[in-house]
Amino acid sequence: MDGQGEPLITMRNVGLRYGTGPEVLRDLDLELAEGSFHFLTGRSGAGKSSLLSLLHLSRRPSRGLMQVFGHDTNDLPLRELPMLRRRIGVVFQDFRLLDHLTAQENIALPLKVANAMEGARIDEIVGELIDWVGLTKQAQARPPTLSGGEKQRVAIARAVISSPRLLLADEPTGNVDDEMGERLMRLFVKLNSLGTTIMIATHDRSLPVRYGYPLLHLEDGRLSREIVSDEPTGGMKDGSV
Amino acid sequence: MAASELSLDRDPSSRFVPWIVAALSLMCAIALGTAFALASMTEGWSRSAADQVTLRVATGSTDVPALVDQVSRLSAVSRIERLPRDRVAAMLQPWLGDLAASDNDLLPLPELIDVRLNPGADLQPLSAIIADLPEVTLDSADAWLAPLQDLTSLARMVAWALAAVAVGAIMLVTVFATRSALVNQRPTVDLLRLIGAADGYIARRFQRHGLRLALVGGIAGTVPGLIVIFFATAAARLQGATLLNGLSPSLAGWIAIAALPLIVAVVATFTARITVLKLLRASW
Repeated sequence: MDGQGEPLITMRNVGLRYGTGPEVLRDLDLELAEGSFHFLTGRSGAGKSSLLSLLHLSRRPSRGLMQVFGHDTNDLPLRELPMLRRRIGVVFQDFRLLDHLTAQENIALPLKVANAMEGARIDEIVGELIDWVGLTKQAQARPPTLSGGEKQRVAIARAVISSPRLLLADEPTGNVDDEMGERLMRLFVKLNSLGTTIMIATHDRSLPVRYGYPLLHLEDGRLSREIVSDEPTGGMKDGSV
Repeated sequence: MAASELSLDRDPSSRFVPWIVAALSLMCAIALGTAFALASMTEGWSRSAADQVTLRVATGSTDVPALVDQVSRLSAVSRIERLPRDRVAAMLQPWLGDLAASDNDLLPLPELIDVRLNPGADLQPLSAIIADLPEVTLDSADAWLAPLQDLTSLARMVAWALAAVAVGAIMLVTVFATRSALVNQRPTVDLLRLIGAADGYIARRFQRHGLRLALVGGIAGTVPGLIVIFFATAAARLQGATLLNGLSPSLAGWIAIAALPLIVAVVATFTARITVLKLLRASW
C-alpha cells in the first residue's frame, strides 16, 4: 500500500466543515506523490490551515475519500492513528513548543512518545540534529528565552527527527526575517532532496516563484493547481543548504 | 529527558486531591478497623459459645457429683467443672445483692456445671443424660448470643458500606481531577497526539500522576486512622467488659488496613487511566 510510486496522500471530492457550519473546504481532489515538494497558498481564511489539519490527521474529512499512506481515513481504527501520525512531521505556524521543556527535550519528543529507542540513542540523534539546525548553544534553553527564528528551527528539528515521509509546514518563514527565512527554505529543500515529501503553506506568493515547485492554491475552500512558470532560483533544488 | 511532557505537578486542579483522599482514607480506615474488630470479637464469641455449655441444676434430689461423673465420661466432653457456691453467688450478686452471698435457705442457689466440649462435638449424648432429670437444664450461649451477633453483623455491614462509599468517593474525586487536568493540559495532549503519542502513552502520564496523589493522600489518611483504631479498641478493652475482650482487628485486618494506601493508589491509577482513555477516544 505504501509502495514507491503510490501517492502518499489521495483526496477525492473531500469536504470539511466545523460542526454544523458551512464547508470551509469543498470538493478537494489532490494527490501528493512521494518525494514531491508543493507550496500551498491562499489568502488568510482560504482554508490553508484546515487543509493542513486534514493532512496531519488532526481532523477527518466531513465527506469524500481521503487516503493517507494508503489508509482510508473513513475506516481508520483509532489505534492505527499514532503510527500514521509518526510518519508525518508538522511545523506549526505558532511552533507549539512546550515552554517547560528545553529545546533539546522539545526536539526529542516524537522519538520519546514513539518509545522506539533508548534514551542514550535519542540524545545522540537529538545532538546531531541540534548541530544541524545550528542550535548547539541553545540546547538547554527553554522556548520563552529563544528568538522567533530559533523557535522555528526547534520546531523544524522536532518535525524531522523521526524521519517523516511527509513534512507539512504552516507559514514556516512567517515569523522570521528574510535571511532566516532563506536558511529555513534551504533546510526544506535539503530534506526534500533526501526523500521527504514536503508541503509548505504560505501567503507569500514569491516563494513558489523563487523555488519553482508546484503551487496549490486555495480560494474559498476550493483547490486549484498552478504551474509556476518562472525558473527556480539557481542552486535551490540541488539540495544545498 | 527527565522532565515530563505534561506539567501535571503544577496543575491547580490537582492540589486539593491529596487532602480529600486523605480525609476519605481516614474514614475508610476507621470503617475497616470497626468492621475487622467486630468480626474478630464475634468470632471469639462464636468460638467460646460453640464449645461451652452450662448445666443448671435446681435445688432438689439430683445427685450432682454422680451427674458430673457421668457427663465427664462422654467423649464429647473435654473438661467439666462444678462451679463453687461462692462463684455462683458472685455471678448473681449484681441482681441479688448481698442476699446471694448469704448462706441461708431462703434463697437456694442453683448448682452450675461448666462443660467444655471438643470442637464440633455432638450434644445429643449430653441431652440424653439430662432428659430424665427435670431439675437439670442445659444452657447454651447461642440463645443470648444470636441477637448480639445479628447486631454486630449489621454494624459490620454499615462499616463496610462506609468503606465502600469512601473508596467510591475517591474514584469520583480522581475522575473529576483527571478530567480537569486533561482540560487544562489539552493543548499539550493534542500536540503529543499529533506527533504520534498513543492514547495509552498519555494515559500513563495521568495514571502515574493519580497514583502519586492518591498514595500521598492515602498514607496521610491511613496512618492517623491506624492510630485511632489502636487507641479506640484499647480503650474499649480497658472498660473490662468480657464481651469486648476480642474487640481488635486480627493481624490480617491490621495488614489490610495498613495496605489501604496501596489499594487507594491502585484504584486511583485505574480510574485515571480509564477516564483519560475514555475522553481521548471520544475524539479523533
